[in-house]
Amino acid sequence: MKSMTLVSFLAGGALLLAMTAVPPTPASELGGPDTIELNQIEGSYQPVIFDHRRHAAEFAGSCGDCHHQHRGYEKLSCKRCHAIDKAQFKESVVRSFRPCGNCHGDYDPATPDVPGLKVAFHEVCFSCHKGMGDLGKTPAGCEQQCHTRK
Amino acid sequence: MAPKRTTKNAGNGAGPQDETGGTVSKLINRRAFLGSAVALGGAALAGAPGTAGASPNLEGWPDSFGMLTDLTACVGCRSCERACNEWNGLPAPEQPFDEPGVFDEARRPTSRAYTVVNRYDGPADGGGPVYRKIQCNHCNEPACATACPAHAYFKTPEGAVKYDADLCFGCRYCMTACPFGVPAYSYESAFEPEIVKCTFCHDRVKEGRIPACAEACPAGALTFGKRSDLIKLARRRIESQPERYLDHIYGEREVGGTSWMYLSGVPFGDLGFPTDLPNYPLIENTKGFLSAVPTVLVVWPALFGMCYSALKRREEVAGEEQKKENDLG
Repeated sequence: MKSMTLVSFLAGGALLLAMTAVPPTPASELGGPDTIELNQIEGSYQPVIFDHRRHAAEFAGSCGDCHHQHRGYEKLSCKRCHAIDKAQFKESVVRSFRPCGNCHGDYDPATPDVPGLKVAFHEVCFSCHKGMGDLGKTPAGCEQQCHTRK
Repeated sequence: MAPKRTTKNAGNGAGPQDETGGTVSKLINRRAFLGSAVALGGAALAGAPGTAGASPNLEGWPDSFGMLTDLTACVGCRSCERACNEWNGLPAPEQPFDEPGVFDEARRPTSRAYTVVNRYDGPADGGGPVYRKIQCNHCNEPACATACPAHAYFKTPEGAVKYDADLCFGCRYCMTACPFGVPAYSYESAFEPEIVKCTFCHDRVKEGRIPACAEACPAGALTFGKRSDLIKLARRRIESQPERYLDHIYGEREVGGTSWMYLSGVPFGDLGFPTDLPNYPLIENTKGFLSAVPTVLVVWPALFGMCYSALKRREEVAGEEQKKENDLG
């Protein structure tokens, strides 16, 4: 009886390990861009060179950590962001995100729950960076990690 | 053309409503009827204004615009102040917009700045300071317009409370009447001083654009849209992140509702918001008195004048009769 408990315990542990040990495919291997130049606050700041490859490889567990439609409460249809094609479904889903700006362009007051691109970027960055130093808390934080004054 | 004055729109075609939102005609019963009859009778006898519940609920202009200010998102960058200054062609500030020293003292809107951002201490358990943007809240039923004897203020169907400097004669009643202390006076203009306040970028909105401050905000703290949509959006935010927001949309009901509304994670009283405001328009406080003024000024003089005339006539007649008697005697 005791050995049975031990065996099932070990089996369960192994199963759990197997489930968690499969790492999500890093975004860097899925054809995402290496760097993205963000230049929405032209005028005050230099463009931000966002290191997409590094964020995808080192910080994010999966694409959905940043690409918001998978984060939970936003219920968007798949084809809002992916070109859904039966034959190329998988390829399409992992390799062809629509650029953020396709939906988050200029803010439209008719859809107040869809922020403009500038706000969308800040919200995504803040979701991890807020609280690192002054970032997202005081104006001094703007220049600590992201923005360089012209 | 729709009427310009919001007071004419106050009823909005809707019947009187009770506190639960149902129409009185549907829910009325004998007890309620007697109760309201007694209340109205008492109010009439005392000459006191009717209670807020007795007046129709104010819905404001249908499809008017509003702004949802998310105080949990603001980072205090003052991009809104800069954009407002540039769009309205206001004089350059004494200190640059990236000068952090301005937060050391609480500021208020002036004739040189339609909007200012103030800093407050955040919650005790950390999380950093909280910033509050101040500007005209564009009330659904503005007290400034009520107080203005020259009708220089009017609420537009788009939501903005606008001011016509040509009609203003400088009494500054509006500055006293505003529950948020917003209208400023250009004391520095010796010959043509005028009231200065946020216009809700009415010129831009009429062109289909959004207010300059909202366009400039990088942090998602300012969301412009239909007021009714923004209330729904605010509720969704509160429901999805109850640990982040207080369950209160400031401006949804205060003083009958304002176009600008606020979400916060700390009590509004800690951020300098007035928290003693009623949920009905401030005009309700004076309506009873003001409607009695014509009665007092017209009916009372007429009534007392008649009494005086009658008494005087009687005295004259009595005097004449006395004189006749004296003459005969």
